[in-house]
Amino acid sequence: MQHARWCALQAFDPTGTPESPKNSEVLFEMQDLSRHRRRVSILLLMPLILWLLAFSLVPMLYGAWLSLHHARLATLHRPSWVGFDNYLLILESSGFRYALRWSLGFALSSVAVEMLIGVSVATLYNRRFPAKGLAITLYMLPLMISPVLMGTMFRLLFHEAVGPVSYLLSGITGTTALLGMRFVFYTLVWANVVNRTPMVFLNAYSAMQGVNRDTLEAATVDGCSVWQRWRNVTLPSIFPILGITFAERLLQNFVIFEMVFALTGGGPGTFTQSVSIFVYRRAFERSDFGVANAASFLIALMLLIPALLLVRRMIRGVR
Amino acid sequence: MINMTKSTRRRIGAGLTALTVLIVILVFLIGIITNIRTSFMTPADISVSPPKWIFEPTMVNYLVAIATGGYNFGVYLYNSLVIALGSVAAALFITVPAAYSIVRYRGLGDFVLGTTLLVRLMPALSFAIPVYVVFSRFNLIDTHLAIILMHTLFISPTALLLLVGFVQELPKELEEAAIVDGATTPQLLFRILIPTIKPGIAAVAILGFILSWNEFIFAVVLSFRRVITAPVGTSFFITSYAVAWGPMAAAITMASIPTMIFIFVAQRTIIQGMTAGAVKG
Repeated sequence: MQHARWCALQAFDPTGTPESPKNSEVLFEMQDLSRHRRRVSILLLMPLILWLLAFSLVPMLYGAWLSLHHARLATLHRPSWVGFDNYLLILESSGFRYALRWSLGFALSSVAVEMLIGVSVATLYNRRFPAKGLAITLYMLPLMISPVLMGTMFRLLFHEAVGPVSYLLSGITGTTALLGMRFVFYTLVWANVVNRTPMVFLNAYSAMQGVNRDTLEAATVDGCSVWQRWRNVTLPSIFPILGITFAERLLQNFVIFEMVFALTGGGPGTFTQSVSIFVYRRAFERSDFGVANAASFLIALMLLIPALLLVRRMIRGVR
Repeated sequence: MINMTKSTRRRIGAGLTALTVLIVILVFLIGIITNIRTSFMTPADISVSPPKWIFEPTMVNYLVAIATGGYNFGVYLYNSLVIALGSVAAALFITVPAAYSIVRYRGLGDFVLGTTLLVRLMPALSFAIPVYVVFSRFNLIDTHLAIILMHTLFISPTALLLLVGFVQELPKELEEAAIVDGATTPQLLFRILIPTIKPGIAAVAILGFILSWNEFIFAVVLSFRRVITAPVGTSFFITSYAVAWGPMAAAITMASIPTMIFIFVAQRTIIQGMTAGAVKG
C-alpha cells in the first residue's frame, strides 16, 4: 500500500490533463498522502510545541497578567487588579532607570571589548604554530565554566585583602579596592570579557577557517600587505558572522545576571545593579511579584524586535 | 638577517605566535589557576599579605567542602548530575522528532524553529519569575523535576539548532528507500534517523549537559534546600561574617571539573555546537 502511494507520488505529473481518469485518481491519492504527511509532521513537532507552550508561552502570559496585579507573597493566591500601576511605578522609579542606563553602558562596553579581543585572538590563532589544538582548548576553558562560578572566582581574585590580582595591580591603581566604586565597573566588564570572549573567538575563528584560501593567496601574489589582506579579503567574508555574534552578545550582555550577582551582587549598594538584578531583587528579596513581572515584561518587550530580527537572520543561515 | 632561509624565518614566526598565544592564555586563565591554587592552600596561607606564591599543598579544603565542614557539597554535585542527565534525556526526546519534521516537512516547523530560537534570546528571568509562582502552587518547588522541566526548555534551542544541522546532512535517498520498502514513520525515526545521526545526538548530550550543569537562574529560583545544584551551592561559603575561601575554591574546582573534562575530550563537537546558529549564517 505504502509502496503504491509512493510510486503514485513519483509518477504524478502536474501538467497532465485533469480529465484523464487515471490522473484524477492519482491526484486524490496525492492529496491523501499530503494530508497524511502534514499530520505526521505536526505529530513529530508536538512534544516540542507542548513544551514551549507549557514552559515559555504560558509563563510569559501569566507573568504579563501578574504584572497588572498587586501580588506580594502574602496575597499571591488572590492578587488584586491594579491596571497599569506597576508599569507607571517602574517607569517613574529612578532605580529602574538607573539600572537601564547601567545595563546599556555595560552591554556596549562589554561587547566592544569582547569583539576587539575575540577577533584579534582569532586572527592570532589563524596561522600555524606548535600545540595549536591545546591552545584552542585552553583558551576555551573559561567558556566551560558557569558564569556564577567564574564570578565567585573573581571575587577571590579581586578581593581587597586576599586577592592576588588586586595586590599585583595596586601599583598601578593605587588601591586594592578593585570592587570599590572607582574600579568596580571595569572589574565587572573585564570578568565578563574573560568569561565570554571565547564565544566571539570561536565564531570569528570558525569563520576565518572558511575564508577562501585561493583569494588570500592571489592577494599575496599581487603584493598585498598582511593588513590589506585582512582588511579586504578576510574581514568582508567574516563580516556577516561577526554581525550575528555582535547582536547576540549585545542582547545577552544587556540582561547579564550571573556574573554581576556572583561578583558584586549589584553593589556597592545598587551601584552595579543591572536590569536583571533589579528584577531579581524585586521578586525574591522584596517578594513584589507584580512589579518584578512588570519590569521583566518591559525588558522582554525591549529585546523583542532585535531578537526577532536576529532569529530571522539565524534561520536564513540554517536553511 | 639576510642569509636567513625562508624556513628558519617561518619557524621563528611560529615560535613568536606561540609565545603571544601563551601570554593571552595566561591572562585569560589567571582566575582559574588562582582558584585551583587556592583550593590547595591553608586558611593561613590564603590570608597572608603580600600573597604567598609558594606554599605547601593540602587537601583539607576538599574534605571540608564535601564532608567535615557541614556544607554537603557532594549532595549539590549529585543534584547537578541528576538534573543535567534528566534534562538532556527530555531535551533529546522533544527535539529529535522536531528536528526531523523541521528539515523534511517545513511548514509549521519553520515557525516552531523560530519560536524556539527566540526563547534562547529572551531573558531567563522573564520565565523564571512566573514559573516560580506557578510551580509553588503545584508544590513543585525544591524538586528535581521542576529544574529538569525548565532546563529542558533552556537547552532545547541549542539542541534543535544542532540536530537540524545533522538531519540536513542526511541523504534523502536513505529515507526514500525505506519509505518505498514500506517503513512507517516510527520505524523511520528509530531505525534510520537515530542510528545515522548518533554523532549529532552525542553532541546534543554533551552541550546540553554543560548548559544544564552551569545554569544558575532557574536552579536558584526553583530550589530551596533539597535540590540545590553545585553553582548555587557555592554561595553558601560566603556568609555575612566571613568567606571560607579555601573550601569555596575547592568547591568551585570540583564543580568545574566535569565541564572542563568535556572540552579536552570532545573539543570539535563542542565548537560545532557552540557556533551553530552563527557560523552557518
